[in-house]
Amino acid sequence: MNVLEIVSIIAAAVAVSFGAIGPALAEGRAVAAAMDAIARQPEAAGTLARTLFVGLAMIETMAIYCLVIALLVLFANPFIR
Amino acid sequence: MIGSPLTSKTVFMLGPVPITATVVVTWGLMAALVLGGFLATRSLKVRPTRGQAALELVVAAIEGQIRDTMGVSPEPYLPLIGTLFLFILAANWSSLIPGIEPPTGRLETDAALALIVFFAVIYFGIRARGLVGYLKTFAEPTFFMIPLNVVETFTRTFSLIVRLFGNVMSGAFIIAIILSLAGLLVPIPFMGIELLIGAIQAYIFTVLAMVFIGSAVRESGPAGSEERTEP
Amino acid sequence: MRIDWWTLALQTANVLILIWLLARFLFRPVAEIVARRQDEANKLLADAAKVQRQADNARAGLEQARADIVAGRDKLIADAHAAAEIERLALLARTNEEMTRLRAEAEAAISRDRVAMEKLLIDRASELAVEIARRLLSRGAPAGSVDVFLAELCQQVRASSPQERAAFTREGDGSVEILTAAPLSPEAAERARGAIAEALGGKPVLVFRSDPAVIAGIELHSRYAVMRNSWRNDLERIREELNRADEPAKPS
Repeated sequence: MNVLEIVSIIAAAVAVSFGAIGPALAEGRAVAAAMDAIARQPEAAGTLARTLFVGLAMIETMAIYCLVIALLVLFANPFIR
Repeated sequence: MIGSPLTSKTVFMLGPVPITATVVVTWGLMAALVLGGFLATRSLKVRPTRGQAALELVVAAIEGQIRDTMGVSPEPYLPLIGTLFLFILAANWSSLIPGIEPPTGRLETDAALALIVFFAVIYFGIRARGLVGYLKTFAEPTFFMIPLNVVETFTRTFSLIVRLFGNVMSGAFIIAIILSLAGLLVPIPFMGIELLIGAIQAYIFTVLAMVFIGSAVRESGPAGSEERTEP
Repeated sequence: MRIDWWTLALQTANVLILIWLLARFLFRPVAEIVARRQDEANKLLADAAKVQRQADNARAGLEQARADIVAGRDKLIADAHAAAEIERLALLARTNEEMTRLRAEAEAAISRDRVAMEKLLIDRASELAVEIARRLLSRGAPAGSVDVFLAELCQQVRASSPQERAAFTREGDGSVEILTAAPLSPEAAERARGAIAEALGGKPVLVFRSDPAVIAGIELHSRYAVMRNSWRNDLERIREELNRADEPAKPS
């Protein structure tokens, strides 16, 4: 196992870990806001829940990007032969 | 331990063409969808049975989404949008069948879908506004936005590819990892989440396609601008 | 990282074929059946609308007819009122005319009656006056002479019934007064006494008395009977006759 592989593994871990921070905070804010809205308007809970899920999926895409990068680094690293 | 999620296994060779497992699964899904559609629409009546009512409910829901999102009459776009949604949904959920990898978990399938959306935007835009009219949409809102709009046209397509691919592939990947770790009952909640994510991703992909086509077709308006700025 | 271009091309073709197949076998039939149902619903709605329109027309016709009826009724009432008014006015005029005519006739009749009555009264009065004059004049004798009256009185006495005569001659009843306007001369008194006694029969007690109220003539007054042949008596009779003649003329 050479240095390049070690760096690649570390880079993948860093990408996933730091890439998860932002979406986690964002999802927390989104869920909090949705809870607040549902508390204010319980009759709109259905619409809010649907929109919330779509928004969460959008936000989660950020973390997914990081995961893709990590997987690319791990499995399809063009520098490792 | 686990094979790379980015490569496909070649099942057999059809002449010089390598047929991968993804293509085979896609064929199976196509056959199932077409057969299901054919059987469902074989005996349509004016007074609907329960199954026909459900089918019409699905179609009417897609039409309603098109009308709400694009703000235009849904007839020309219904086959494309509806097929995109149904196929992505079926492909995402096909991961529940043991031994089958979802086709949308492969970069090639997502790229093919995004490519179709990319050209559909151009086709419908030209059809609705003419070539010059469609090209003028790149100059909105100002002339200096042209490079940004051109770049955005490609990046949003790439975003479509990676979003769908990453979600489905990561889901299948996580389930595979957990299967290898825990075994029997533990992956079931993850499979439930995977179902939800698959449905949501199919919906998001379809909605984004509608937004792109709608922004090209509609005369003006900032529809879907927040989705476009999203990477 | 390796993109399998063959797979990409195959998947693109697959999705395109799937779009075409699903459009052919799923979306178009559903859209057709929905459109057909929509058509039928529209047709149903159109039929309903047509029926409703017919009903509306019928109702409008009915309302028109009712309005006509009401208008006709109002017109009839108005006509009846007008006719009644005309009739009333005519009746009033006729009644007024009739009343005027009746009153005029009545007045004419009254005046005619009055004229006739007056004429009759005048005739009577004149007739009476003539009669009075004739009677008074038919005496012939001078007013101061008692003989004529005496003769007539005697004749009257003789013509009366014996009971009346007996009333004068009954015994113990005082005397019989011979009333004259002026005191008689002795020979005239003697003549009168003889004539009356002879006329009365029996032996009456005769007393002479004078009374200017007699005017002219001679009267016999006993306690129970009176026999008169004087102008006073004649005048009283004439007055009675006049009174009787006045009575029927009074109501006018």
